[in-house]
Amino acid sequence: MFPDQILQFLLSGLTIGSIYALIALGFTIIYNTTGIINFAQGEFVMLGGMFMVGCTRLLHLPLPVGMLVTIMAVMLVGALIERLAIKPARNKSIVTLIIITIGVSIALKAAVAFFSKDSFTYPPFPGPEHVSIGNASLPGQSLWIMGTAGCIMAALWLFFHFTIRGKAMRACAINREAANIVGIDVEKMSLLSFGLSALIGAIAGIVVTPTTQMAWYRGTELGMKGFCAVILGGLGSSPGAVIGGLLLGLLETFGNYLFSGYRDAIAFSIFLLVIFIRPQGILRRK
Amino acid sequence: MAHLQVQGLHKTFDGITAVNDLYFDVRRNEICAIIGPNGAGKTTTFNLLSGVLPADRGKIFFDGNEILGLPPHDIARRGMVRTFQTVSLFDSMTVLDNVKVGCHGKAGAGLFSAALRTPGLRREEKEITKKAMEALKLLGVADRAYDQAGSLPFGQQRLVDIARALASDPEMILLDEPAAGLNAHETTELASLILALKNRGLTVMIIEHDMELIMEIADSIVVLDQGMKIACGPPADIQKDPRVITAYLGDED
Repeated sequence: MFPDQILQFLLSGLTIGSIYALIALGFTIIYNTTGIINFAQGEFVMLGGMFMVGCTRLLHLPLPVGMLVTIMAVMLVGALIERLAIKPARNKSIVTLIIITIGVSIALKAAVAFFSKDSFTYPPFPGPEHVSIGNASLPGQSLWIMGTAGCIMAALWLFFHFTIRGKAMRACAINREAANIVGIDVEKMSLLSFGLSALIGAIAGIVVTPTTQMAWYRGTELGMKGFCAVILGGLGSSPGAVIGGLLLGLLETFGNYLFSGYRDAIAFSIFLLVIFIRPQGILRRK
Repeated sequence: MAHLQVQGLHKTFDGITAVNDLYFDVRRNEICAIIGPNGAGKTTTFNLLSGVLPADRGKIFFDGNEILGLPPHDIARRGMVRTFQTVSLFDSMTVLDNVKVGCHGKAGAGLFSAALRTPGLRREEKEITKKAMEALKLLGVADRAYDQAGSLPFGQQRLVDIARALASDPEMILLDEPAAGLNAHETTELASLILALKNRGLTVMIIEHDMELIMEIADSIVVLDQGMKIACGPPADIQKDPRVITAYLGDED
């Protein structure tokens, strides 16, 4: 492998890794606040891409307006899922709630497939078509992806550490019962966590679609990769989600060079390895 | 009107009666102690009052309003807060943030102003920080405000727990065995602290095994045994009550 190639893979790996990191953060926020692993997380990404397709190609809305409409719509979907599917079953076991999210995921896929079973994309966002770094070349959209992911991570960090609402969500994550007893409305926090995760998922979908294609079935794969990243970094850890996502993106990209065509197999092999060897993930103590 | 009225409160677990048809009143601004042997239903009573557990039947009036069946956060916002036997701080957050989160229920700003950190929100945060610091000062742990809550020694964690409960400006505080695990010196300080809370206008309910502490600070005592109230009244009367002596020391026959 030449140094140039390494740089090239590094940049591609970090690009897709940023997307995995965002999806992993979505998982983490809902898990920390409610204890649920939301297997519809990938669907938020798919919906983000598909709504954006509708906004730009069907309605011909300007880019910023389309983004805003898409984000609002996906957040609404997230909030509805929480109110209609999760809240009524809130006193059931966590396993039941997780299975409900799988059902929701299937329903969302079917709903989109009902309108169209085709794959769509839209042009990259404004900017240079390609950026050269050393001898490596990067699509301009990659900068959008990494930049957006970086901004979201920073914004989340500020939210969780410097606002009373964010701190209340962290308190829920640490001890739900104690949070409830000091006056935090845990149900409202649950709704907030679904809204926030949908927001992050939608943005991930919006920025990733121009580099690939979006279709009704893509959410499952993206969601599973995000879940791999969560397990890799350590379930419940936000820095773990980011590191797990980036690492997974890199391992996948380099692994794909060594064993061409086994990209997905690599991701899930890593997943199994972590589960067997270090089930608490990289960043979590036992 | 009594600050808290408990009427016919009843709770069973799998057929075992934990709280049996309980009636008592707590007057405004008094220190009311609940005592009784282990398993008498004291903590269960607190759990029912604070909404942590649902009751089988009965009525609880706080400030004249029925609160039985309301979720815990709602009861906390109405001004009745509590601490647990086992201190449950948010360990990985700072002491100050722990207490600030205790004021969260009263914070009004919505999600979007929270995301944008509007001027109104900044003012609110400032006020909350001020309130939280006051509560920490009252408990004498303000110097630990920026330390991680989990790193504090046990006695101080307990004080932070009480500060967190106080930060939301409650009218009534329920303390579940606050002296457990404290040394003699800390217990004396706790006693003067509880009296200070009373002087600030709070109504205090306390579960405690330390009889010396109870006899010193309580205005009235409710004695439970096997879920039933066997006596209630001022400390001097309770000390002489034969039923209480029997419950504590066993029957002499």
